[in-house]
Amino acid sequence: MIMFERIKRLYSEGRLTKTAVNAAVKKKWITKAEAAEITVKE
Amino acid sequence: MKVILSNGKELEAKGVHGRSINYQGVQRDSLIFLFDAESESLTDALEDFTAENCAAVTLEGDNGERFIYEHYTIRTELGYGYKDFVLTGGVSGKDDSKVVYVRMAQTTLLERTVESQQEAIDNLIAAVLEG
Repeated sequence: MIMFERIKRLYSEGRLTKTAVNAAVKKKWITKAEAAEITVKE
Repeated sequence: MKVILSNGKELEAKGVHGRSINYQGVQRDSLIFLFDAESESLTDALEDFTAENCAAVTLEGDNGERFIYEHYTIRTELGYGYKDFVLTGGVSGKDDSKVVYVRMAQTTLLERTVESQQEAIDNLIAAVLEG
């Protein structure tokens, strides 16, 4: 959960790309569902 | 007295006063800035007194003396009221002028260290994921 919140914040600040968020899934730092939640367009 | 913020903006203050306060369980030094409402509105103060703009605040006296205050980045109060009440919590009747006021409290070394470590972790994560 801590990693999810951190990646979500970094993505919202523009410091991570969508590709980087997907890379976090591959590393098992976050789940696919969490990645989708992070990158969903508001 | 002139107040110069980190972004270079200069404001003419009616006064700046220091006081130790307890905020979020920590004893800290704080500065309260008083402005004429016609020169600095509440909205202006809200926009001007951000953490970024208060990383280093320079106070310039009428005789040219300068004092730099660093890390007064926590905004704890902002309002418009009687100068007497703002400064003392009571009304003496000596000065019934109204002012826009902002109080900025100083972060502790521990808070700044944690913030710096968080930033280092953020950079590390970004570097690993962006490959």
